[in-house]
Amino acid sequence: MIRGIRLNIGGLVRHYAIPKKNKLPPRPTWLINEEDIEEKFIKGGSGPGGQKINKTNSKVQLKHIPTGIVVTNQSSRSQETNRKRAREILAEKIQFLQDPENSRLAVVTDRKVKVKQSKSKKAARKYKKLAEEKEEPDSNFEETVDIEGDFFTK
Amino acid sequence: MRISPKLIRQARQINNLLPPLLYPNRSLEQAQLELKWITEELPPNQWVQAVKRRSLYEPLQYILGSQPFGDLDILCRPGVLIPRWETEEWVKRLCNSLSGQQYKILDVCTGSGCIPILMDHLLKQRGIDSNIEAFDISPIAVELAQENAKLNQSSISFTQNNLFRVRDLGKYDIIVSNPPYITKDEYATIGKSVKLYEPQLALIGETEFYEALVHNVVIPSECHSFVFELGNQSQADIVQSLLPHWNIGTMKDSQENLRCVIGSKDKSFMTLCN
Repeated sequence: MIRGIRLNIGGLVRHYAIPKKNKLPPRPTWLINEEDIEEKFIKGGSGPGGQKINKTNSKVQLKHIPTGIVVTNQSSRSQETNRKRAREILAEKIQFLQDPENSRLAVVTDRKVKVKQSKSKKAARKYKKLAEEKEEPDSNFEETVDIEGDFFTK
Repeated sequence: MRISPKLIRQARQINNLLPPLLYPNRSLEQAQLELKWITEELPPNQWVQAVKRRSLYEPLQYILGSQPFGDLDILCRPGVLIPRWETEEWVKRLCNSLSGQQYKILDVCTGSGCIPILMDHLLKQRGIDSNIEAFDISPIAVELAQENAKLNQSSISFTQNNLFRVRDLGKYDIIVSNPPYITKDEYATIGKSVKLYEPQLALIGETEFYEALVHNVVIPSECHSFVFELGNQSQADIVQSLLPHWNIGTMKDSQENLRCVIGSKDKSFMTLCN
């Protein structure tokens, strides 16, 4: 896991702050008012139910009436977990709408971009270094001949 | 309908394990979800075997060994019916409607024990005292239900008993049950994975279970209310005809299918009807 890059430039240590994954702003679940949301459980079409069929999915759809935002979640087999997760996603979207700059969604998106950038920078550095090493090969290593090995293969 | 070769190709490009899962799931989205759950819940050396079993229509719950029910996990094993979301729904509605201090409850045809264990859990959360017992005719169901109670820290007593020849019935306030309710005619049309893998003992029944519930449990136990899950109107009608002096109503599930028959001597449970 990459936790920010330290660059030592002329004795000064500079931090490119990528927030740690456990130091992100909290999920703004306090923005959810149960009276403002319309909850639906989507079971995939009509038809027989009960003992006649055995479904594995339990999709939850939330509609936030004041803003019209609709979110769905079906990532878990458990409806209770999906309900909780859908509320978290909805809360993040509401916060983003109210205060885009300081919202958790913005911080998380920004973090993703930074992590990706630092990964590609690191990769670029690695391949640059490898390319440099290839250009000036280790002479000692090249000239080592395994005489015994040679003998046995013949 | 046949799965199109295009969809199979598309699935293979995402993951080699995905195409076999298209058969029981019918859609790419649903197949991807099931693959996600298989890879999350099972160790990698079991993935191929799990996908193979699922492609032969075995219920995912038997493969993974459990089914979420409310905020509990219920163990599932072949020979015992897998808990359904419709049951979860009415159990939650029932527990939310109870407002008394103390209840003595009996669950008949308990299967995995999901109904009494969730009731025990929800009533505890609401600070309601309950004493719950349950029985089933199948010894493997009783054994699984006991394991489920242990797993979920529930002290319900499960016993083996036959609804048609009930022994040692106590007195209860509320009777609940999810008896077999698929008629022989309907059985031909039910989901493939249910028909191939779930026990007929827990599925097939016309009205005989409802008659037995009334005669052998409701009346002798002197209960004041009951909720029975059902599959068709004639099952509700028979209950109504056998208990002419009771308040009897029905409840639909959120898919608008008829799901429960509800009865009570006073009117306390009638708010559940719709």
